[in-house]
Amino acid sequence: MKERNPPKWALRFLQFYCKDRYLEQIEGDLFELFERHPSTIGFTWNILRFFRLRYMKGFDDFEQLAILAMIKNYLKVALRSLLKQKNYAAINIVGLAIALASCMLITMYILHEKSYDNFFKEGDRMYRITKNEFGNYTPPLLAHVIREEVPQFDVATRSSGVFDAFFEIGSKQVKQDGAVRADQYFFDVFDINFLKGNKEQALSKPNSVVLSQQIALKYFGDNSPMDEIIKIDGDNFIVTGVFENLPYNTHYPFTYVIADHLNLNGIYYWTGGSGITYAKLSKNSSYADAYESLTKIYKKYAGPEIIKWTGHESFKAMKEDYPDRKHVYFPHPIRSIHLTQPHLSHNEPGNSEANNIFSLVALGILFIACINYINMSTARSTLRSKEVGIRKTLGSFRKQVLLQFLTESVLITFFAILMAFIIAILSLKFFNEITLRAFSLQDVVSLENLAFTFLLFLLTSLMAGAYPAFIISRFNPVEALRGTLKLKGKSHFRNILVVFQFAASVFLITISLVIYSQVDHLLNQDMKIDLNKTMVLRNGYQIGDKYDLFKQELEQLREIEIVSKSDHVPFMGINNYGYTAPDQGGKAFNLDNIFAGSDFEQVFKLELVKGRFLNPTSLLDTSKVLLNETAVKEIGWNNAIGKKLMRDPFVYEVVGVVKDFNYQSLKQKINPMIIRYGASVYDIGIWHQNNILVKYHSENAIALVEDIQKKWSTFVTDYPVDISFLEEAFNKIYDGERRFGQIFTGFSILALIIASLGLFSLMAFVLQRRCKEITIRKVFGAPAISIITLLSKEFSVIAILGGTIGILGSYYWLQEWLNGYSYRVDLKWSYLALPLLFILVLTWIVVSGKSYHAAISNPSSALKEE
Amino acid sequence: MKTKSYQLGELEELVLIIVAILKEKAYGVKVVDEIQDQIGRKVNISAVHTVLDRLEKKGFVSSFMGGASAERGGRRKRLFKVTAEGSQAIEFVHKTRNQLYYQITKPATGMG
Repeated sequence: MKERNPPKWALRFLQFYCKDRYLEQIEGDLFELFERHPSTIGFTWNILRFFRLRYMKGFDDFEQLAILAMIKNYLKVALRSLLKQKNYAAINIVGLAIALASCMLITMYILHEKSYDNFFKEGDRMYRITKNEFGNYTPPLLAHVIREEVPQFDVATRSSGVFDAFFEIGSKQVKQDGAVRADQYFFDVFDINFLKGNKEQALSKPNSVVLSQQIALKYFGDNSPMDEIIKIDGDNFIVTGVFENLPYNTHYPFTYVIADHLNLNGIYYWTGGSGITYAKLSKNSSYADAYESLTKIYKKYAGPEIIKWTGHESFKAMKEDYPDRKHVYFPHPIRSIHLTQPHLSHNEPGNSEANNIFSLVALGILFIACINYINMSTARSTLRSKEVGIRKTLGSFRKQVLLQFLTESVLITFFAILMAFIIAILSLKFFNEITLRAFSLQDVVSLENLAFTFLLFLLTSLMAGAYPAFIISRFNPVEALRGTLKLKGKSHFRNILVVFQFAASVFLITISLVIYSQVDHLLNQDMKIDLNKTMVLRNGYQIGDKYDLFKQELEQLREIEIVSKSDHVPFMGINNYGYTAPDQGGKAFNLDNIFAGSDFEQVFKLELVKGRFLNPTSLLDTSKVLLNETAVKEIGWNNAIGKKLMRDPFVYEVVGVVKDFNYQSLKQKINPMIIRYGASVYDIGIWHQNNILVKYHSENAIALVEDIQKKWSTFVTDYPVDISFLEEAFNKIYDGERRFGQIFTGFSILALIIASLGLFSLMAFVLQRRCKEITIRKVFGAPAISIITLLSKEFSVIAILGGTIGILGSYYWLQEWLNGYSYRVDLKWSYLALPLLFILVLTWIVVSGKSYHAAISNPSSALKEE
Repeated sequence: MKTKSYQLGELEELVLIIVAILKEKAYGVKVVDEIQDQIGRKVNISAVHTVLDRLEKKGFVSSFMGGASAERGGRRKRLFKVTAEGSQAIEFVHKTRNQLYYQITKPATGMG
């Protein structure tokens, strides 16, 4: 009879996991059972049944490896020493936890910032094409020409957005954000999964719209939205597809796409345009070749138009005159847009410079916390000299002592990391508010973040633990046991570290202070424009040719002072047009351009330097313009009145000069500006009345808004009015700076807390060591105040030294930062002295609070100790 | 002195009694067989091992290595015997069960 053996691999598995103690008996029993019923399955099943925690090899089973046994012992000793000095351990852990939490949040933030548009599977081949290097908007025909004439790109698409549109479904009227208009090639570039409908055909009909899952759910619930009709901004569209929601980390956050086909027979210019062009590089093409082709396209199509208005005789001559400009339709990889080209982003833009600063600051805070650990453990090392002495006497090598003390720092860091997770999670809401992102719990514990946290853990353990372990393990056992050990030069090193802590804290405080005063300074500038009590009706074009009547009727309301209109509004963005001045040799100038209706100057209380404002009743004034002082200066005219500007084929005559006024963030200087007449003729310039401006003098703006809404609805029945207040827009332009200040304030508070904790425990240690000295001084009659002064002196010197270094550092950095502003605060000495004073007072409070106790204690109790 | 109380699971109690019956000849497979023969209950070998191990940790049984045999692939048996503590546990369980049992009023029995 053929003898059957139990399966070897199953047996090997058993031998792999099972403890030696149990292995033999289990094997024996299994063999015996197998002998009875030779079934492979039964045998294997039994082995699986034995796969229990009870039988599995554990930590004990490796004890034969001495090093692991030692580590176990180290952990035990470390834990005991932490428990023995609970206060000291708590200070260390809290300090490190705060620092690690900020590092974790910053890491998470930076990983997020670097992840933009990574979710597009072929995102590495997707490019956003800009005019020259930075121009957002590209000519309408560009995508078409790329598809036809640039073989390096598989496909290109023209779109526009992201904007708000009005949805009308049944009787429901809703303003819906996230709209993009795009041609039929959009989803060939943006590779997004479709849940319903055919991706290739979705935008092929001109009246189709494709919704994201989220929009479909919002308007149609569980019903299928397919083939449903939505009225969007007045036109009917049929839903032809539903795509998966885009994640938050994209620079182009659209939620629905409206078909917008281009009539290729139309006449289009190559120098302007309002479309955004994306293209997908083909797999076998190089970026350099594509760039080359796009340069040729630029020369071929845009070139002739450009030299026509710059007046150069050839494209080459024009290029020589503008050597700084890139004469190309520039392809930007979409994944780099968020951080390196934030002005192209339609989401909250990124800021790579801020990222770098914040990671540096977070590391700095971590370093401050590590310094606490280093200081406290070296200061306390003499307390543990006996332990080290005995270990060495009993045969420990230096390496082993080193390892033991490193284990201690690893343990402390481990507890700190656990606490840091809790801190990070609790502060997530606040963190989201200042970063304008939407992080959730999952992001904190994402795999990537955990991996970085682990690195952070190792780094911190080493940074904090290496130096003390090095010092302590060097102890000479004889001296250590005899108690005659001297820490040579160690207090020097400690003081340097404390100086650094003070420097970093003062650095951060000074910077936050100056950022806030700079924002304050910007807000309190005389803008030379009156923004108070000004409303903007943001969809004024819907009034159409009834604008004049609307203006009249509004002005009849008692609370309304005056009404005007314009294409762009100060502090809400502006357009830039090219003009040439024939009498300056045909030189070209880029002027910020506003099309303004009558009474524009009265709404903003603009001052006239020369000439007159535009006359609304005279048709002739459509060819008259106003300039600001900067424009006159830039063009080089002494008297601008009557001078001519050209924008082919039209000629404009300057009739007035307005005093310079601010219309964008004071980060920028005032640019040259031209104010042109916004025609109310419906078909020429409907966009000239994009915005209707209302100046009012009522205190009750809410009631007024209602009145305007009522009036509006008698003119426009199918759209609600969209009202905003100009003061709000103005206040928002410095939000970036404010957040910057908030983050720095947050960091300085953290740094201060950690540094004070360190100072506090270091002080406690100093008092302990100088206990006898203080007592003897007291016995000889020193008053409490002189003892406190004595102890404060040393730390005051350290604080002043550190503070000064911090101030010098921040002074240097702030000079750089403030250079980015045309209107900047002067770095007054008070800004710099205040943080120093603050840190000094704080030091005195900590030091005297701690030493007061020692100074008033009964001398006999201290001397009795021995 | 307060009587010591013993906490035993149902299978633990069963295995402990079986080990007591088998007298120094008890080991995994044998206990499985015995439970099968005496009560007709099928128990998995791993369950019996676990219970024996638990009983040993509680100090109710002790073990020693027995002889090897060919049918066991040359592996030795771990043989179990009941300790003094174990005997007391069996005694305790038996006593408390009986005490409880007698408290059940039996109106039907013997009345005919």
